[in-house]
Amino acid sequence: MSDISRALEERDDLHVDGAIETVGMFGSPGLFFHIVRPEGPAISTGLVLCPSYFEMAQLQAVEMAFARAAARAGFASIYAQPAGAGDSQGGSAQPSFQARVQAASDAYAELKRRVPEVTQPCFFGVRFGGAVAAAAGMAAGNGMAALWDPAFDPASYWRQVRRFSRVASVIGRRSAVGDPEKDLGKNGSVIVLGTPITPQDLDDVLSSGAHLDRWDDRPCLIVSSASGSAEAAAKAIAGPRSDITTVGLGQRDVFHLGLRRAELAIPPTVSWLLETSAR
Amino acid sequence: MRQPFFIPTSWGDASAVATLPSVEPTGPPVIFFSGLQNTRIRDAANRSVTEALVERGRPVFRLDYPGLGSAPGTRPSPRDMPDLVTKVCEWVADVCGSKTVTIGGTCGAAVMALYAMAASPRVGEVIAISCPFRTFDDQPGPRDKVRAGIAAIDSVGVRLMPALTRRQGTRGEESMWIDELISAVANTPAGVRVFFLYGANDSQYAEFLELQASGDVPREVMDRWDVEVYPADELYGYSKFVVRDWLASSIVDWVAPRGSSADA
Repeated sequence: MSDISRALEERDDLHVDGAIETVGMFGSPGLFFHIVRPEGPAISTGLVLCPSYFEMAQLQAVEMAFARAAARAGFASIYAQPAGAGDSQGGSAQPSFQARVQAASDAYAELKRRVPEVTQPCFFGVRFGGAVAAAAGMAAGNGMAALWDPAFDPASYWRQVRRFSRVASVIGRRSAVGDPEKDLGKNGSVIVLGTPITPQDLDDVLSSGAHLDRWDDRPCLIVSSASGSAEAAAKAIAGPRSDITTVGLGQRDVFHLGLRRAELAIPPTVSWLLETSAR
Repeated sequence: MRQPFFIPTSWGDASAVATLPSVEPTGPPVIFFSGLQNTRIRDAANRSVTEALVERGRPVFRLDYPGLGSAPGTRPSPRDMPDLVTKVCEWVADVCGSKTVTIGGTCGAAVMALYAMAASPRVGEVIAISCPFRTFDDQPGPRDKVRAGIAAIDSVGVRLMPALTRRQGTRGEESMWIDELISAVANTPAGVRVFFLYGANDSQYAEFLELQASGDVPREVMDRWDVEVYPADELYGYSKFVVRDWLASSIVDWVAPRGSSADA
């Protein structure tokens, strides 16, 4: 290990606002993780934050704000990026849906190793991250889930991403405002909201719904924006023990692009976690 | 090897990732800044540029400012940012045992890098990608909102948008020179290398040409800058792979030409 590496290792954790934050890499290839835990003993339910696909960067701040609010309530959490995405190592190809689910499962094992009080996972995700969290939760025998506007309908998710990609180009004052799907067909690859994809990656996104139908009979919270269609979508995927909460976003708002108002979803999610963990 | 860590600053801790070479560094560390609202993982080019620089023996650091991305705390005000990035330069240089650092970024991050150049004697090289020289209003104006609304309509938007954006070569007439930035580049220290990269269609490139013609920067200073322009395309946003690859090889060849070994 070099002198630089040794010096940086001394700076991999932080005590702030009653929580301990630790960053590092785990597994092979190394996956980036960021653990936030209370200073004292943690509640036995540990949170696994599953990043979304195209909006991973935009949603990261609100996901970390949720992790910090949960730590103040006693929950430990781990935010981990799948191989090849964000700061994680791995090839340049986008991780598949199954690789993302596996990364969530591996992240839970890492959280348990580092915070031994944790004995039960609650997988958390927003939009596409919500679909990953649901699949990881179903795969884990004793998993719970907290999902914000989960993208169980991948075709509808991709339509929204295309729309936001064009809007982001206009707001970013770029002269070329193309449709990512057409550019993908023309060029064989395209960068959408900062995420590079190929036609195979898009196929994987569009087939992710094949892994999901509705949540099973374990506890689950689905937070949806206030629009009627979002609420109907939440009811369609809810299981017998699911709770649905709507937050006061605008009629057409979803959690894309990490809107500031997405933070409205944090308090009801933490309250639900406290109630459900106490049962 | 990637190594996440925190950098202490007066405004809270920045969250950073170092990518370190497997051998002793062959030159000063490289720091890529983010813009005022961006996070380190948002920049599609950073990954390929970082890997190529590390391959040539340079440690690379990327960070989220306090309150952004994964970093805790509250985001500093724009007025505090020059001081913050200057402190980061000095911290990284000290940790790496290097006399100088190479710094860079895209758009607002390029502005940060040029401010740090003006403030810190530890800055040896600056990479400024699509650097603007006029104020950038983050809030979309009425015209932007109309365009965004049209863009949001699937097929109609795609047909209408090229016509609506064609005349959008520069920012609005009301935009202003960023005086402190002009002053920073006009006083580029003699020993500092500066590399400006643009796409010919970047609105920021129009501002750069305007700056060159304005007389605000002495000719002998501009002659010391290296400038490279990607023909008939935009660098800002890196929406194409071919642009990203061109950018990565241009930067790496400028910072660490093959066979070079700068004094760290």
